[in-house]
Amino acid sequence: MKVLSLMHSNKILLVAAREYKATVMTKAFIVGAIIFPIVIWSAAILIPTLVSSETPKLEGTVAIMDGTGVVADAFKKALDPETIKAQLALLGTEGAKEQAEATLQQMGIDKNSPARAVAQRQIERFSTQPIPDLKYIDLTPEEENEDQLRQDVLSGKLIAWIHIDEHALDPLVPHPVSMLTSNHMHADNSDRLASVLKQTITNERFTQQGMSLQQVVLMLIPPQIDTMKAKAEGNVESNEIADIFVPFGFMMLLWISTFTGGQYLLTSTVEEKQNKIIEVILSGTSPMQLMTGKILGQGAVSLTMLLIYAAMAVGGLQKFNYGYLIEPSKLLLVAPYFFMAFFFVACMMASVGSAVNEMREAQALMMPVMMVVMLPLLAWMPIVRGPNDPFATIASFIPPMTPFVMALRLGTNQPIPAWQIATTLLIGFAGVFVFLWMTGKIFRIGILMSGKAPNFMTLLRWVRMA
Amino acid sequence: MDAAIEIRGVTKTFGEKTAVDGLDLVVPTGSLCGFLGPNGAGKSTTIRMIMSIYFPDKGEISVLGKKSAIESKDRIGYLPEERGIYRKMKVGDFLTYMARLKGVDSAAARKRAAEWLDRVALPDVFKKKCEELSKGMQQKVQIVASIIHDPELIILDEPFSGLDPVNSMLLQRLILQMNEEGKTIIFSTHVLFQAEQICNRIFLINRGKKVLDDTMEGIRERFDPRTILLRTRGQRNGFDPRTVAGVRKVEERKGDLEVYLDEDADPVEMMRTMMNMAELEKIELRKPSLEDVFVRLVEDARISDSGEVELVDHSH
Repeated sequence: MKVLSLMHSNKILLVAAREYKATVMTKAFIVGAIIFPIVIWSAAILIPTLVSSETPKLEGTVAIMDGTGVVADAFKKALDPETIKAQLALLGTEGAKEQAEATLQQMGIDKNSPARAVAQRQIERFSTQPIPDLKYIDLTPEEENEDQLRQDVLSGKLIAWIHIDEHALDPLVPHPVSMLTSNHMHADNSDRLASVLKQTITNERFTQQGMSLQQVVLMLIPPQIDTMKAKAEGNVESNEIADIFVPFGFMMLLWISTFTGGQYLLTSTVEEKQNKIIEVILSGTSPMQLMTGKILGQGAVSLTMLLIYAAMAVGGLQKFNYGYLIEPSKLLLVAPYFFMAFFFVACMMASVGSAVNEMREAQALMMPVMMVVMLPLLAWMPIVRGPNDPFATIASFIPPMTPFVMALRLGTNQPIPAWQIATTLLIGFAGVFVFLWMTGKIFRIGILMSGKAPNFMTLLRWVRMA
Repeated sequence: MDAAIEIRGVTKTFGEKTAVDGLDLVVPTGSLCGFLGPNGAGKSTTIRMIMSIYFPDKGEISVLGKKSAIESKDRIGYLPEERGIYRKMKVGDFLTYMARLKGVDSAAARKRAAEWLDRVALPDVFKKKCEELSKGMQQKVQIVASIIHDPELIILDEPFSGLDPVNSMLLQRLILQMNEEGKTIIFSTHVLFQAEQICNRIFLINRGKKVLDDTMEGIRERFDPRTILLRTRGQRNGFDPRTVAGVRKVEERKGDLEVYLDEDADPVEMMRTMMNMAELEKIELRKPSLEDVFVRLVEDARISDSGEVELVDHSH
């Protein structure tokens, strides 16, 4: 008996392996489901890195007509190599780091915040940009010959000509500054000139009023209000984005991977029926072995996709400093629900695939079950907002919906009672067994049936019949 | 007598329709059986029940000494009537897969696939996709797939349908060879001529019931038409077989005379007598053809329509 069951499981594995290979080792799958997403993902990850590292050195001669008499000097000082070197040196010191940290904390930007990543990247960019090497020509209003200057900028004798209006320090004067640069200049460099110019003028406005811009900026930071949610193990910070999108992401991953595998299962079953290969295979296996093998094979396809996509999602989040949003313990908790979800979808697809004669007929037959499974997808917002509301709680106890609703609920950072996790797992997997049993009956009859497309009631009759 | 398949009182209904009705059938080990019957007689249903693809409503089936074919699938080769192929799979991979499904280990399966492709005159297709093959070639691949695991019992449902004469001959030789090797073979067919040529046992079912179950010799004897066929050279010169004692009736058909004999007449003696009476161009004892038997049994059932078919020798 032991040898017998071993032989049978070997047949199931053979069927599963063939099913997996026939699905995954196709150009369509490799390109569509693996290479294409990876290319898009790599592009999203790599392009920003590649682009920012290419800024050429800012060098050449700048002609300035300064009507205010104070801005030009401040501007030159801000771009002076010595000043920049001193700033860079300061950035490296512990004191500066502490001060920066204090400022960031004050702004409510904690270690895990995406804003921290943005700030970090700006500092990196500042320190990796080449130190500018500029010469200046100071112009008096009389010397400012527009045609000549334009010519010089065009010919490359000047890299920029800056005109500062004499009332530039008056905040109410519109367009107080103009800058003409060569169109060969790298956008990063012209941005840098413009931003230093803006900063200098703003700074001077405050200096003229006897104030310090730096202080004003700090004073303008709104006080941070800590939103906390009471939790048994202590208070936990709430994060609106994470609360909403992480659960949605969990469910979508579950949904996409299980339904892709399920779709392949449906297609391959219908194809086997259409090609009349079923009975040939049944000469070597029992219908149950064939069905189990097919479900396991496509389950492996789903798992492959889930792993690839989840790795891409986690990797992407890490890269952009959102990694903390996903707790490994949660991923582990969601894992059994993935298998549950897959089996529900697979049973549905195997039943329908075995019963119909062509794909066209499959759609109508799937409607009743699809509507139930679709519910969590349509109602994800209320479930995420109130993961412990009666709606979400009850929905997670209704079998085909269980894994999808639970993925949503577990994705939120609100605690789900342990007894509910335990009972939904129990009820869910009990549901899986009932589904598998029913599917076995439908499959056995369905795969050898041809002719009129059965309806939902016919399937139920088959379950009772066999 | 050792039985490869034993069917006892098996009935199978689909809704209102009774496909197989109280069928008893014994396939002796080592026999080569033709399984005949008109369309819709219940042949495929019976075969599917033997293969445990369908399960009987009533009755018992034992296959190779087991209660169910599921327990001995690896010892059975089955070519279904509805046979397809994985179109996108390579021929070699498909055959290897089928062999492995039936318990052959991986290396041996590949080796056998290549050997068998040679044997059925399909070299160089091992690495081709199944869909690239012609229909006839695909049929041969399907046949190989059903016997690649060297089974002791081979069940072929309409194996000749769709084969051209050359490949039909090839399959016939193959079936005979395998039978000589000691394998039990049962095949259903419409082509009675083929069954007649190679089978040593015939089952005929009609409307789910068995109407004939005998060895080929038994059938020949039982359905002996007791008729002499003869043609005279030139004019008959007054020759009339009716004058011979023991002749029941004479009919003329396309210049040939069909001489029907009495029950107790000795055909050989009668032929000798007739050859002495006239100059004959040909004279032969008519043999029963399976086609005659088939048509007679099936037609009779249709006429009587009682469902009960008497297996008595009909006298003309």
